[in-house]
Amino acid sequence: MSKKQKEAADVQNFNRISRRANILLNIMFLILALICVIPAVLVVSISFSAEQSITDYGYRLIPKIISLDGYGYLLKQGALIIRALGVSLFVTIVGTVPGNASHHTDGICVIQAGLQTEWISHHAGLHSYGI
Amino acid sequence: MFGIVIAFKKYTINGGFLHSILTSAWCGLDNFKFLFSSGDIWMILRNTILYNITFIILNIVVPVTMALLIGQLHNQRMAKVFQTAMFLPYFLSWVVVTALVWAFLSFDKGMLNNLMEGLGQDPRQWYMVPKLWPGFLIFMYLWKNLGYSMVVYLATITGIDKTYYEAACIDGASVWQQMKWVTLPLMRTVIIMMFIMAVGRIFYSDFGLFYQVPRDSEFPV
Repeated sequence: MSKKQKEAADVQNFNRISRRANILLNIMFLILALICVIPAVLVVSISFSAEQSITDYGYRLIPKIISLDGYGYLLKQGALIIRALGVSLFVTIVGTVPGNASHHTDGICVIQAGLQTEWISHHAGLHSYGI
Repeated sequence: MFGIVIAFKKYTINGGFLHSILTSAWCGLDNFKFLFSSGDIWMILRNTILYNITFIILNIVVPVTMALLIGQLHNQRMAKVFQTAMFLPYFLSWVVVTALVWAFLSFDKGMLNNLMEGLGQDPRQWYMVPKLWPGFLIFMYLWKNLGYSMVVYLATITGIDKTYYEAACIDGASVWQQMKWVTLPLMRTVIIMMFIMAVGRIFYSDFGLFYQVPRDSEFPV
């Protein structure tokens, strides 16, 4: 490396944290990222596991018995889910367009969201979890 | 605001919501008398205020620190990946999170108990350990909101003029000193804004977090 190049690299490296600090920070953020991603992945993997698999082996990241029953159930409930999504869409558009700065719309959104959560959790079969 | 009248009425269901309000009888301050004489009010107030003070402090301190640190990583592409990953929980609703927490903590099917059995320890009834839950609820709240708050603070940091750092660097400021004397003071207005908005949300009472996630375990807090 020529002297000039080295100098340029030095200037670039000057205003940075040390190598060791960089590695430590990378590890820390990696752990944080995993804490956030693993549960999201778990949602997907649970959705693919058969009910039998959960009762026999518990919740697992890689399900022992794979089934699409959950999605079949969703398809059967099609109209219901689409209506729920429609309500969500409506609330989002109506709540956003006139300006969400006003407390009034905020309040309505909260009430709607509350009702919806209850409604969905009741109808989407989540009550089998005891929610 | 019209909903406030419910507090002064003996609410009885009679047809639709509005119709019920209009036809319910007035009862003055009886509802408040009941609330204050039941003795639970002080526990409710204490919980609300303590939880929210913790939430507000942690939800400023942690994301600001994280935003400052993630900007220092040498590999900014990795930083983007981490940031996206940390944003994920924000998109899950509390109902989904509840099912998730159940998958981790459930007594017979939970992953945590599976892991503990694997390590040769006794499984525990995680939902029956009241001492654990205040800390856990605070953790869940942070976990869910960290990514979102970080985006806000990162946006502020991105908005800071680069020349400040060049000047500070020429003046011999270390990276730590640049954070402390350049970035933080310039972030102050946004932090204060976020703080004020968080204070305004104290009495929202996060139904999803406090009611759904513990699955109605009724632990005495």
